[in-house]
Amino acid sequence: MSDPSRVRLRWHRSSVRALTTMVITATSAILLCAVVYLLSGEVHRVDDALFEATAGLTTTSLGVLNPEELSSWLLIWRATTQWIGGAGTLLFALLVVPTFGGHRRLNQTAKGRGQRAMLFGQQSRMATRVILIYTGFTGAVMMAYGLAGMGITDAVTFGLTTSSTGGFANYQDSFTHFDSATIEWIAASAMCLAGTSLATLMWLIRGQVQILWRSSEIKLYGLLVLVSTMLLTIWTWQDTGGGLQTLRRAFFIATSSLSTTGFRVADWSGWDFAPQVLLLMLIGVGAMAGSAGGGFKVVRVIEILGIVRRELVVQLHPQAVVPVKVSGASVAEDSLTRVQNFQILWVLAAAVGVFGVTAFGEDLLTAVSGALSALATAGPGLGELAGFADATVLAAPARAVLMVLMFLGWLAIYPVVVVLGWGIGELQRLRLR
Amino acid sequence: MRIVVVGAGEVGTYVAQILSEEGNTVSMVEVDEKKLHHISEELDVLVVQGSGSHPHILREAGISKADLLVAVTASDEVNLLACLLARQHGVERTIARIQAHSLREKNARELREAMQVDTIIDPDEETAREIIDLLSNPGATDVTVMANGEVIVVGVQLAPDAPWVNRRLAEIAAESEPDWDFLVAVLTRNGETQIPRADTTLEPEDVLRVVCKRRARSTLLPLLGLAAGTHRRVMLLGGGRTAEILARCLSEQHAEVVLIENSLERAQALSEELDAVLVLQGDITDAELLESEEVGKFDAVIALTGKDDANILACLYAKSLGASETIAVLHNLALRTLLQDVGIDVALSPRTVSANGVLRYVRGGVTQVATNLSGEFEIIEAEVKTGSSADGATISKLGLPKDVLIGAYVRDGKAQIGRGRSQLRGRDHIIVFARPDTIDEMMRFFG
Repeated sequence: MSDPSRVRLRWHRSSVRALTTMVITATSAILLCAVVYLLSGEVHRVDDALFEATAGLTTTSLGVLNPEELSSWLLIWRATTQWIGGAGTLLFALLVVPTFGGHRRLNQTAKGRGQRAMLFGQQSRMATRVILIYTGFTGAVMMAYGLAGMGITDAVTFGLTTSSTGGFANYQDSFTHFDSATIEWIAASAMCLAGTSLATLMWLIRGQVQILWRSSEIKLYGLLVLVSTMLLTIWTWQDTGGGLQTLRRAFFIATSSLSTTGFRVADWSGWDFAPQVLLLMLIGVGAMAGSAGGGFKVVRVIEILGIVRRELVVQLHPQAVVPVKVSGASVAEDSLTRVQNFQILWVLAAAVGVFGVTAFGEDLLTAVSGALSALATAGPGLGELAGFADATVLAAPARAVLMVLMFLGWLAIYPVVVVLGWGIGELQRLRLR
Repeated sequence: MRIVVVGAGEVGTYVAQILSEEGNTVSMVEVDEKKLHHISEELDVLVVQGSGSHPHILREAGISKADLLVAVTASDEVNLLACLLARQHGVERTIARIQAHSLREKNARELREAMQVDTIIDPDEETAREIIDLLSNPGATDVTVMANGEVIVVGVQLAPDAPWVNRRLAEIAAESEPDWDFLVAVLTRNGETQIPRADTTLEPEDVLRVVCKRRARSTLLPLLGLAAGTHRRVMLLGGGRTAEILARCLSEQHAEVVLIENSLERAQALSEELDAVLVLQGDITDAELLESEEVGKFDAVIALTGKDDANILACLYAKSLGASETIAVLHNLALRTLLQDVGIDVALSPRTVSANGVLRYVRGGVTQVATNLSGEFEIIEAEVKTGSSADGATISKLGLPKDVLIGAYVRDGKAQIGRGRSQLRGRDHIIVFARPDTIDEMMRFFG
């Protein structure tokens, strides 16, 4: 077994280069998007432009602009930034995660006992295929929206922000604007799919559903959707009018939270605390690995639970050999160390974030939910951020804190930490010279 | 019959011994010179040193005149190749030991057909199956399932407080009239095994082999002083292939299984393979480990490492802590009697188990063969050929040789206990107890 004290912190130069490229690309993309907002003449403040660009690219649905005051072209651009951000998340997982040895993540559901089919084939072709499926999925969602009665601009923008788990809406009242059960069903189902992985979509398209049953991640994801929909239905029965509408809204809210999309369909500020906290927990868990969504990721939850279970068994049976399994295959020890590190970083980032937001005068509920939601790149929160609220309720410095969190959440923290650590090391070396 | 045995391991040596004792001409092929030297001193067989996959070695062993090839080396590839070569020399039957699971599955049938293997045996799996049979008859020293499970032969050491102690067999038989459900077929007392007479009185410590109809098993076990029960918690000591097969099988039956394996690498592989099984890494003779895992609270403790001494020691320790049933897999049969005296319930030998598999195919018309651990009696399942001298004959008037007993017969899937007045018919399946040297003579009666 690997010694946990021997955590590898020496990065290969090439992976540092890849990560640096990634962080620089991400930063410049945000700056570029902000410049586009400013050039459009419809956004006047630099900090607003920066925040909207960050929220867009990180696929967070927490904006500062009032979409109803924007032109159609800018709405489409705003949605496109989310789509690009979602593609970025997918490609980061594909191109950069391999340097962490996490190559199998995207191919995970393809793994059965005794067979390791590479779903996306060779790595060089993977990028193209991933983007192709992503585009196809987006097109399908747009079509569905169009057929359900959305106008063309709405169908295009909502298609872009649904498939990318972005969550930007063209109306301040988000999906309630349409007041259409069909559209809500479509949106909820699309969010549910967007929160799974591209591999899942691929197997669904191929009609090989039995392969999906081997994946413990998809089982847990499905279970979370099911249970939270049921609980929300019960809790909000009176609030949303009962009947099928309640079920639909509960399903919508559950998938919107779990996939970290962040479309709104109800104002939950008046609810009991339990369903509100459930919503926040779903946002924290997040989507499946290999999706455009954010959050801690379902597979990491499974791995952490596996580690906890192992510790319990080893307490009782000191000589027990207990593997941590995902989808029937045991996870390598160094991957487990990495997941634990990620968990520490994630909790640390959230905690510092909460501190940061409260430091600029926000209340605890708003700060906790806002920080967590931003780190998970979801958007909705509790307190002042509940329901249809946007980021304008926050003070500018608090927004800046959330921007950092969104950025960290988008890049899965590690790359930023590695690049920072490496950069600081280089600086020290320079100074010594 | 001329038989070539490839591989002088445990299984090969035992098979060669039994076959040569029955008067077959046996030659053995083995790479290891030391092993061969030992065998040529012990057994009446022709030995050839070399690999069974080389044509000239097989020719030297007399393959061109042989009727049967038994390839039981540790290597699947050598075994398969030996079968193919044997066929090229016109050998009628080939038996190969194949351990790789993937080679035994359906999709490997083409390969096996291309290699022209008649029969495949796997000692590990057969041992596992035998242990499963034992577990479903707690307290039994050995269990042989015949005629697709219609007939069970239970071996048992009579407990001092068993209802049958100090009673004559005739009395016991009179109680079970009119339709017998079981029959004491063979009795071992003071190391001597024979077919008991009606006036024999049973004594404590007698080892009996009782033929029993399937449905009568639950009534028989209490009479022998055994409690019928199920094993909910089983500890497996040693993580070899047999243990793996056993663990999977037991956990499918929803038993709680704990497995101890010494090699960390193997333990990790097992823990990955076996989902519901708790795998521990440690030495099976580590008393502290066994104690902390509360070995005494298990329903059955089975030691199946390759080392007899470790197996015995672990079983003794488990027994002393209160485990209700302990099974040690033994490779050296000489230790067997010793074990029963010190209280280890059952000893099994993988080679006996697999030899039974081979013998089944050596005998024509015989569908199943089991040798008792001591090898003095064999239990044979055979079919009565239509038109043979047994067809239509009453058992008592058949004139069977001494020391041959028809324990049961199965007609149209229904089992009956064999009695003097029973009449046999063609296509009946009979379960016969006989000494190895009388088998050929006996088989003539049934065609």
